[in-house]
Amino acid sequence: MVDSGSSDGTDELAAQYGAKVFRIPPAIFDHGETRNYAAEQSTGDLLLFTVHDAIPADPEVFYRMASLLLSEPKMAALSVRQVPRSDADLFACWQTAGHYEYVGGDTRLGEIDHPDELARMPPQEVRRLAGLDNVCSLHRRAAWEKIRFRRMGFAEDLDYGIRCLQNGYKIGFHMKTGVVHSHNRPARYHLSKYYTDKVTLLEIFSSRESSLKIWQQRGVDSASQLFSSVRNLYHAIVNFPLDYSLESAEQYDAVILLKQLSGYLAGYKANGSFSGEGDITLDEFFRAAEQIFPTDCANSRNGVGTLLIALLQGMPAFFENKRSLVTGAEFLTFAYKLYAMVAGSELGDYYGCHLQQGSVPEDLDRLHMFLRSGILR
Amino acid sequence: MKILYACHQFFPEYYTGTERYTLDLARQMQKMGHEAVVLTYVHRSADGLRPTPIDSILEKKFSYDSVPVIGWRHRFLPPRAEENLYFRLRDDAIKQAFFHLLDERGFDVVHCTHPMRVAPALEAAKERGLPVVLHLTDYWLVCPRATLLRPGNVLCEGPAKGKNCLKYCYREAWPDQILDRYHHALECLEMADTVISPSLFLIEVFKKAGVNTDNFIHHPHGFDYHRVTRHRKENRTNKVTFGFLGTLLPHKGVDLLLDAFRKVQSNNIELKIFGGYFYESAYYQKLLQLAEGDERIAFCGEYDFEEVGGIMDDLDVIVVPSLWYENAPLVISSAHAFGIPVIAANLGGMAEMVSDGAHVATFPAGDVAGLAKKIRSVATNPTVLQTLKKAIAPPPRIEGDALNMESLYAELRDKERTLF
Repeated sequence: MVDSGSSDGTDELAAQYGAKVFRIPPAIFDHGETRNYAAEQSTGDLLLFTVHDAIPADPEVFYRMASLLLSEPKMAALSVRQVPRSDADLFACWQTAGHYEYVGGDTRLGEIDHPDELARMPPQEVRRLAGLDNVCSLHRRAAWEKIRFRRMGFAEDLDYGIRCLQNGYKIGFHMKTGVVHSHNRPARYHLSKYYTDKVTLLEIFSSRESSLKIWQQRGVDSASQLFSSVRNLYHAIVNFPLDYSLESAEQYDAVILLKQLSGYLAGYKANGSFSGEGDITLDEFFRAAEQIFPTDCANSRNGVGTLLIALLQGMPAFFENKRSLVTGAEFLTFAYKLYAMVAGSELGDYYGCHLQQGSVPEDLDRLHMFLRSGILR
Repeated sequence: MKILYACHQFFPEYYTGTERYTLDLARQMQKMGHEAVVLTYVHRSADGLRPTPIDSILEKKFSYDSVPVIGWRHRFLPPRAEENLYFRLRDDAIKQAFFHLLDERGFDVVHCTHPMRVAPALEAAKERGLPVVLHLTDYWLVCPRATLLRPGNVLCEGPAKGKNCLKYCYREAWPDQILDRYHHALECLEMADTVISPSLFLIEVFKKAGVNTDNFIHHPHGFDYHRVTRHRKENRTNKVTFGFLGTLLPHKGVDLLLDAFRKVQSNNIELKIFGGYFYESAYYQKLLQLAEGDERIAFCGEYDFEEVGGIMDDLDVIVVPSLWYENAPLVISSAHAFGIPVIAANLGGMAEMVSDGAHVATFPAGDVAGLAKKIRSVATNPTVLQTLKKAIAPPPRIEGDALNMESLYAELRDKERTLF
């Protein structure tokens, strides 16, 4: 076990159960390099990577993974399904369901005929074929010795999967078994998480979908202008006039609430009034961010709100089929997290486009450092 | 996937282990991205019932803990409703209502977690070409009393195709109905693509009752661990606290526990009894008399399952002294999930769940002296408690259970699709 700074006795407990514990300072943790380090300490032909809070959903999960991996000599690695915890919140469930709808929730084998093939594929197909998941993955040592993880703050598994395919290996997905793993993270975490996700994916997929030119076409000429829009959109949600109680356990029709919120956002005009009491973690973020982008309510029409509205409008099918009734508090918490996802992704895209051009403005760079500090490891 | 869970009764009217499992499974399936609806029978309250396209059936729709629930009830309850609805397996009006529901909502699978009052779901689903999963949580299909316990709390060896039911429980009344019921039960069991039993014992009971168990699988109930936190109370004494959690009814053997506990003259033990007595006030009075004058015993009243964490924090050992073949009691899986050892009667599914290889955790059912001996050994020898703790086999997680169910449903659905 590689422990990067547990303070709750996890390392001692693991040692008591016979694990070899390798301690590293939290500051040097890296999703790619730390896994390489762990693999270097081991001797087996198969390498299983998992995380501290993933619990086998099936007592035979590792056996079933090994059986499948060993059945296909060209398979470099395979990962299994993540099952949301029984206390997963609405956003966590939506995320997991959405992820598998995007990349596929079927047991499959990702492979390509030619190394250049991936470069021509849409990102969704690349993730479907190569989107290894290190929350629980099993690797052939021989393949790892050749490919190894790269130093990456995020998505080291996808990067590894892509290079495996490019080197003639296959990647497996065993979706009939899995691990219990999900997080009820605060909205602020999702802001940073989706920011980092977007920056990393832009690095991996180059500029297949984004460029500064597109941002200019959207009417965004500066980081402060984009940030102002992101902040205004947050203010809009905070000012959303609720006709339901946040305290009550009473349940409301989720589809009606979605329509109300998207209709309200579509007609919202920033007027500078802001109570400052929305989601506590986002309130803190925006207060702290004033040091980089002083408050101003200039509203540019750049589509940040449109993206969120489009997401809300696309959701009735999900709610109708899965959770038709929600409490008021559940819905608002979901809305804040969804907002954080959109805002983080947009800011990440903007930063990533600047990075690709080789020049990042000073204020955007400061925001980058600030947002990266919010992601948990 | 669209899943219909059919359950004989449900929250908020009823809240025993079967309802709890149905709710936890439906919630988890929702969390995994599936549509899960519970269909139940509501016979206690007529509030909010509305007409349905089936003239003789009324319904109400509500949600419980985020799970959509449809409750049905006959417009006119049959004569001797309690007895009749508790007993019969066939009901044409309910079957027609199922046809309508299945056609309207397009479910992919029907999973019946208890067939009482909703058994026609099996036939309707089969006729519509849908996969059917049947869960057995007690013996009701082969024993109309559900417990395999004859009057006078005598254990029954099985229905003998209904002949034992007639002889011991129905005093030769309803001969045709009893014998027909047995055959209807066999038909129900055959209609299910898969019959799930949480205990091996139950499978054996059904086999002995003449049931073909080829489509049976053994699959222990998943437990929702989000309730599990363990914070020992700081103000606890050094005493060993024994607990009983359950309904205070004669077949639960609470009187036996009190008798046994009082036989152990030790000041370092105490007994806390949690649960309500429903209609059995005479039995409750008997229990109070048995405990009278013993300050080590406390009756703590009814409890809500959501409070179980707080209750477990205060207990060292749980005793399950039932006199019937309990199948997979929620109290044992809860205790084990919380890391609390259980001493149980050596009967049915209970014995399976607390099996420790050395029989430290079990005593002969109904044996007061045997139970007293177990209590005494825990009170006088601290290593016994440690031994019991080491033997705990925590129940599987509800998330893993749901993942298995998802695979099962998909497998059955794909099989049905090739047939139709």
